[in-house]
Amino acid sequence: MAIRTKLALIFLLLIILPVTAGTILLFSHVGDVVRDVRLLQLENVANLAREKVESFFSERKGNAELFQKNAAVRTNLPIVEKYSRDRNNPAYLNACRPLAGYMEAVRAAYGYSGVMLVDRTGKVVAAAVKAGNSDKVGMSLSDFGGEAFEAGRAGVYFTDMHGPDGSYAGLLCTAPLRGLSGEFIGEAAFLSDKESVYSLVRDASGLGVSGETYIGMPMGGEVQFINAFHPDRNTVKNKADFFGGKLAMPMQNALSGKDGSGDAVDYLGHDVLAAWRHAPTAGWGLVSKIDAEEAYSAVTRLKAAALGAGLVFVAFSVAAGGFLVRSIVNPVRELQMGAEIIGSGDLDYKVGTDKSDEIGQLSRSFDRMAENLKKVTASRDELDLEIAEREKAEEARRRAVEVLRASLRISEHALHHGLDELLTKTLDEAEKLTASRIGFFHFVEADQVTLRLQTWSTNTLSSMCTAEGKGAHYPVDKAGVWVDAIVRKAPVVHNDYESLPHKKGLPPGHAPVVRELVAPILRGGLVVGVIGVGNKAEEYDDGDVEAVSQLAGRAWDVILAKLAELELDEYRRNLEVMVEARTAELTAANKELEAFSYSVSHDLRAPLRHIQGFVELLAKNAGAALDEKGGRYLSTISVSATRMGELIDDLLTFSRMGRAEMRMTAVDLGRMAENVVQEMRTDVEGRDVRWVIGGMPPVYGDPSMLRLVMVNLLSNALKFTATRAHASIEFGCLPGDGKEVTFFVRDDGVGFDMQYVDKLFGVFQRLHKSEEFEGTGIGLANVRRIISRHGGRTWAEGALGEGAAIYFTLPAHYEGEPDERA
Amino acid sequence: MKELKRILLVEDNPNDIELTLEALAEYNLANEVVVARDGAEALDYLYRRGDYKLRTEGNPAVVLLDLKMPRVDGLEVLKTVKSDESLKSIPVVVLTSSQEERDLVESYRLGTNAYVVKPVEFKEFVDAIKHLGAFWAILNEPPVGSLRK
Repeated sequence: MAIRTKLALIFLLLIILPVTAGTILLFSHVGDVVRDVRLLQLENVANLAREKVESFFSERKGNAELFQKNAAVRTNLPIVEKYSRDRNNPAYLNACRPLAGYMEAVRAAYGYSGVMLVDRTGKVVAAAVKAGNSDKVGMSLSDFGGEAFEAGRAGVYFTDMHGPDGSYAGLLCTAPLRGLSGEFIGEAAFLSDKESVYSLVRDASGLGVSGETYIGMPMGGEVQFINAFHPDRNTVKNKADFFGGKLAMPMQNALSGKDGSGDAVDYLGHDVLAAWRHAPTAGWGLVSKIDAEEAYSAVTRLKAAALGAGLVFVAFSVAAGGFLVRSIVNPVRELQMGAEIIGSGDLDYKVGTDKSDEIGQLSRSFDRMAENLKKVTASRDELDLEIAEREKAEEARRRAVEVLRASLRISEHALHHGLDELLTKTLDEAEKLTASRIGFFHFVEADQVTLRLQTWSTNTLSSMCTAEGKGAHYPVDKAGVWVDAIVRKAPVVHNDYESLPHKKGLPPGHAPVVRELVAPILRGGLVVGVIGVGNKAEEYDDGDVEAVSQLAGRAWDVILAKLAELELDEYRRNLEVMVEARTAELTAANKELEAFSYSVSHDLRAPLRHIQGFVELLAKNAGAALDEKGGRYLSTISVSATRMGELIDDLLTFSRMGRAEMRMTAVDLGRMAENVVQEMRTDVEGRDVRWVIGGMPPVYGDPSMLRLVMVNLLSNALKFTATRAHASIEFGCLPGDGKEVTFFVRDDGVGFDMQYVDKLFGVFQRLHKSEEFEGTGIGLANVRRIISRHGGRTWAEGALGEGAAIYFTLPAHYEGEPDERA
Repeated sequence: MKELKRILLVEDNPNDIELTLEALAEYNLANEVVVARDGAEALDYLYRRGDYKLRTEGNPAVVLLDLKMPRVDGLEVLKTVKSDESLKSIPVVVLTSSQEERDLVESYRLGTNAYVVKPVEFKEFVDAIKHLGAFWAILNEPPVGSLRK
């Protein structure tokens, strides 16, 4: 629903309908109020009229009673009657005088047109009349009172307004007069003219034009209507004509003795508002009425005015509403159209109005918005530019990433492939980066003129019939246009190869070139290589140049590394050959050594044994033939042979120590030392030796070798303390760093001179005479060899005569290493 | 007294043969000794072929076997003996100058019944040989099929 329709509906529902309904309600109520006010007014008027009528008649009655009680009247009337024919009679005159004065006083005071005294026959004998009226004396009362005289005998009587002949209009009141003795002496008659009756209902103040008050006097079968203002309406109606009908219902009610008020139809047939009252004294009906038309005329006028005003209001409202709607809808529509225009992109369009209302403000706000939008658009355009730049940067970054990835793939490729595959891979990646179809790689010699075609991309090879020229050296001037890249030391792009003026023909079998991109690889200002791609579907752009250049640069590093690797491989291969040769030599030497040892073991010992054997046999069989000297020689030969056997055994052991395989495990040297001491028990017999063996951490080593170490060191200690009465030998360890343990065997024996400490660990090195201490002098050499094979060190401290300490280190035993002690 | 049993001494070195026989003579065992000068001769004896084709049947009570010999060495002889059903029950004592561990290990692997290193001291050597001869030729009950005198 359009805003216009909505506004119109709102307007109709909220303004026109309530106002109309309210007006109708108000006026219907006003009508009622006006009716009530009118009726009240009419009732007041009717009540007042009835009061007047009632007081009128009681006044007449009162006057009659005044006359009846008046002594002068009662005394003089018969005299006047008596001398009526003799009016000059003084008695008559005397009698008339007080009567006349009294009658005139009453007449003037009460406004009668005439006050008369009537004799017993009904003839007027005295009268006081209003000036101008004819003297009534001598007239018969019945002349203008009809039955008034006869009716007046019995009591106070009022005649109708009209005489029997209808000749005059007035009201005659008659009352009997009695003499002092109570006899009927005549009557008093008061004549009121019609004006005095009219005056009873003349007061119609506030009743408007059609408002009036009637008196309805019943006259036998008729009703005489008397109206003070409209004498022409004073009519007589036959009772039967309207009694029982709707006509003059108010008068019907009043004459029936009812009071009331309400809507009715009057005797003229008009719709009226009326109030009706019954005047009991006279038996009259009183009706105050006003024509309904006039009664409601104010309301009608008001209604008409209100209707008019309403119509004007509605018209105005509609107009105002229309204007309002237009004033709201039109700007809104303008705003909408403006919005559409602005929305369609014309940001310079101004909806703007100078109106100060909200729409005006809105439109101005809209314009401001459009202006801001324009600014925003402007800044958006800037933003677009920025975004475009960023996208460009992003594209560059993306390509850089692609280049990096490609470089990475090339590097990975280099790990497991040769130089040719590496170059081909580089070209394949360059092709992929630039959506090219061909690719080639040249090395450029340091002279910058000699080229070496290295390889083509996979795709180029598959599209070319021959792969001739690979590895061929040729000078720059024989190469194609792409050597521009070498000459200029910058990338070269030929997007339209065909049109190049200096192009040279392609060799047969060469893939056709549509366009090409050639990038030199520069190192130290020299071109070391050239990478070229070609036949991209579109033209090569700066991004392609950058990508190929970067890739070529990175790939060159890989290529250099590969070349270095190849060189290194060559070296390695040479080295391997050398190592193999050397190893073979060593193995041979070792084998020789083993064979030597074996021979020594076998062949060197056998002659010794034979020497001994035959010396023994000689001594046994020919001993008697030898002299003492000969016997000593034999003995010396035997001892020397034995000694030689020991030396050989020691040498073999020493040799074995250097070659034997090591079986590493955790070793508790403390326990091992205790066992060794236990085994040497017999050697200690008769000696006073104190052994001190401290607790020590396990080490990692070969138990049988280490056992030899302990035997050597402890037996040495025992040996070199032999000359001491009391010997103390200590085996312990020093606090270490947890990686290795430092042990020592200390004795308080003969010690040694530190200046010969270097000889201590040599093979067959002795610091003492063999006569003093037995032994071959190989023990510490064995110790050092074993400890060395365990990665440990050996050293000695001592002083001549003050004992010696041999130190050695061994690797500590770690958790996780084999532990066979358990 | 029990019968003496025959001893096969496989030894190439004449000095050693002489000294061994000298030692065995102490127990009067020397006459019971057959000397083979190398492995091949030893096998000839055991298989009754070549020079020993005509010898009487029966296996020696013990073979005293040197290792280092020309032609067929002691380990080969040991290997042949111990892999032959008819010979494997013959006790073999390796009698050698070698203290090399590998010889010891290999000999036992091939099934030798004893391994004796010839002592350098003559007295000890004589004692050793005497004990060997006494044990194998006198005390030890040879397996069924041994050569009897």
